[in-house]
Order: sequence, then structure tokens, then C-alpha cells
Amino acid sequence: MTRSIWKGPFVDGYMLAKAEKAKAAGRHEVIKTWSRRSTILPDFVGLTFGVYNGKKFIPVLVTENMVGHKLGEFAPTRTFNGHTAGDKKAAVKKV
Amino acid sequence: MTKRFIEMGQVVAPHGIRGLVKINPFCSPERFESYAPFYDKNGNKLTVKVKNLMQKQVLAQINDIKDRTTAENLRGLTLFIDRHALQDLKDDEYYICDLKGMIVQDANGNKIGVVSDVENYGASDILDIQPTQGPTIMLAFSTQNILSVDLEKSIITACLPEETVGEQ
Repeated sequence: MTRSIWKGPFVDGYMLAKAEKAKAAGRHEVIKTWSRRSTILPDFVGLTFGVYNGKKFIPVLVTENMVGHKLGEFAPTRTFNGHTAGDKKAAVKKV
Repeated sequence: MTKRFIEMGQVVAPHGIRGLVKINPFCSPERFESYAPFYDKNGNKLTVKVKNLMQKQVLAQINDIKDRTTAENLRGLTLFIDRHALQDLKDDEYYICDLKGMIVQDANGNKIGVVSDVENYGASDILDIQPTQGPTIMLAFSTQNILSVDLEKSIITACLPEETVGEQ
């Protein structure tokens, strides 16, 4: 069953405050968090969160198309030990 | 300095009685043949003729081997390609095989560590940096963190972000 619209998206209160502070300061920082359940809001775009996956903090750079998802979706808790593709590329993401 | 040879597949098992082998490609099976010629670990050229594509594997004949007994000896053979067979990329794109092993340093030239892996969990590419001591550092591969990438000197200049705890 989906969440009722009248409730609005769920975000831990302290996350909002911290994101606002980080945006206002404009500092280059990673906000470490254990709150994998928090929904990504439009206010978070451009910020980097360190989302805990049970072992380490995975840097999650928030972009517009991630709005509405949960932070935990971008920090998997299980490891996949496959072979990396030889022709796989990595691109420097513009912020 | 980029690596000369890159792993692009591995022979899994022989297939049938006519010397074909199943290859597990480290790229999409459709693109596999376009990276020919292939080499073994000693740099010897191999003739790989792709006969059929399976879902995630490729059926091929290597060095014109026509019987299963000889094909059995190829089990576990790693196939390499020349680095130059890979197409050129845009300015801000890099092959992961090139990034692995690069030295990461800060703006002052102090060594932070060596890139051990590059991961992507859906948000952005992440550099896994292995410092000389202590646990690995994960750094988002973004313009905020990466100042420059010098493939010739094998050096990435990065700016590590500060860390703040969200729950306080």
C-alpha cells in the first residue's frame, strides 16, 4: 500500500535542518547519515550525503532525477563480486 | 601510463564436439567481437571466431581448434585486448581500467592513496581510494571533488570534502 499523499514525503527532521545549513554555508562537505529511510527532497539536490550501508558511508551525490527516492536506494547493503567490464566508463559528474 | 592489455573475457567451458568454447565476455556479448584481435596473457595473438551469441555468453572457436579434447585445454583461458582497441571518450569520461591504480593526491601534491576500484550504485561513480594505512576512502567522482585527471602521469588531483554528521 502506498503512502497517503496528505502526509507528504517522510524525511527525518534533522536531515532537513542539516541540508538547509549545508546549502546556506555552501561548504564542500559530506553529510554523514544513518537515515536510509529519508526521502530525497528537491532541497537536497547538489548536496552529497554519506549514507551508511551497515559497514561504511557511501557518498551519494544528489541530482534532480533522484528526487522522490529514498537515500538507502543508493547505498546497497550487499556486495556483488562480479568482474568489472573491460570497456566500462566513469564520467566526472558536473555539480 | 595506461595499461597495454585489458581483460575482455574468459573461456568457461568447451561446447559440443567441434571445438567450440563458451566465453564469458567482460562487455556486452554483441560488442565482444568488435574488440578483436585478442591476446593471451603472454601477448600471443589468438584467432577468435564468434559462432553464436547466447544470453550472457559467446560461443566461439579459438585458433581453429576443431575437436573437444583440445578445446578442454582452453578452459580458464583469459582473453585480453589491446587498450587502443577501445574507442576514444569525451573529455570528462575515463575507462575504469585506466583509473584503477592511479595515484590520488591533494592540491598540494600530498599523496592520499591509490584508486583500487570504481563503483557506481546509481548516484554517481565513486572512487575507492586505498590509502597507505587505514580503511578505504570513498570519493564521489564529481567536479567538486576531482580537480584534474592526468592519464599520462597516472595522477588524480582531488579535494577531499569535510565530513559532518547528519544526526546531530
